[in-house]
Amino acid sequence: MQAAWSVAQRRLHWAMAALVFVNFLLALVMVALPLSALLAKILTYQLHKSLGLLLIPLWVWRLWLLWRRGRPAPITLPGWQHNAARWGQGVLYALLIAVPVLGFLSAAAAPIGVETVFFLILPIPHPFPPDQALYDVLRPLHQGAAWGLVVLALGHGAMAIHHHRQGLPILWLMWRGR
Amino acid sequence: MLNYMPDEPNALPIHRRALAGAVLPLIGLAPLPARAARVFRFDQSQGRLEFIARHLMVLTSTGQFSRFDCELVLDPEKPETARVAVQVETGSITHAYPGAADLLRSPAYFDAERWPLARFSGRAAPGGRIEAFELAGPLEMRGMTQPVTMQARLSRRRRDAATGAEIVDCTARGDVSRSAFGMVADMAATGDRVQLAVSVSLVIG
Repeated sequence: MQAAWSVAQRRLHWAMAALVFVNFLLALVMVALPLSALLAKILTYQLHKSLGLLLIPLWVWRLWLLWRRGRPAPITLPGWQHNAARWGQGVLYALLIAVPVLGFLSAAAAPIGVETVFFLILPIPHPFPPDQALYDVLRPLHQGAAWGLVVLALGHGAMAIHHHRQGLPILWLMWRGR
Repeated sequence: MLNYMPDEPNALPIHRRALAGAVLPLIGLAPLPARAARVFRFDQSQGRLEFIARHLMVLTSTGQFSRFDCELVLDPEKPETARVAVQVETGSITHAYPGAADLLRSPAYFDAERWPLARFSGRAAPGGRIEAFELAGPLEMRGMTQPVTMQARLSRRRRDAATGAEIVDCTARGDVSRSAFGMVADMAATGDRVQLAVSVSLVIG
């Protein structure tokens, strides 16, 4: 167990948090854009897909760092808060990978059949052809998981601020490392 | 799937077996004697008419016309005499993306209310073979007429699992410049070249 989060771990934490929130807002915008703003709509969809795909290797990297370097000793909290934090963080990790994977799969199943091209440069092959029935399952799963991720991340952040105001160093540990 | 239409006025009174005998040798599949021109008529219930647009040069999206009529006259012995006539209801556009069909029917695109029909009549170019031949002719759309060339081909024959009939798949593809028909909306997002694609299964025996 290390004394503090490493620089890479802290940067990854904040980078992924920023990506999740930016991509969530982007999703709301891209869906709301009218077809008359076709260029903006296509660009926001592709950017949303690209940022989402970016989360997948970052998630793998983050887990690898956690496995290699571990984490600081947990702050002393009441038992139920400690358990809730552990469960919450576990679900956050699960959603961080589930949301982009479900998003990619729903893009593949989407009947419109538009390709996924990472930042309009690198084509990412879809694992299966468009399938309306599959899309009808995957799309709401992706959407629901994304809302769950954002709500849980907000709760995670709110608890960190709450503990910070109580004088516990949780926020500083992730912000400055100590 | 498309059947030979012996009662079609333009059709020659040839038995269906003669059709099979005529088409197959020319696609290199059976040494049967060829006879003369046949008329195939099909619509959306047997065939498929799609258009494929490119976006930002790297993405594509596909739409369809759900109402059209096509008449294909094919003389397997003389593929250079093949001809086709297609009539499409422009208002019958379907597209998987919600709202896209309405946009495409609007005056900025097909202007389906003002120009409800698009027509193409093509003739085979000399030198074609039955497995790869060109059909060139005028396409009339939005009140404008422009020359278009479709690349047509017949596939190897196969037996339909459901009906047991012998069929060959016929496809034709060709590019059109949408701006040549006055369709200039969203040029930054959608390319000028749009591919038209027709596919149908022909019953030959």
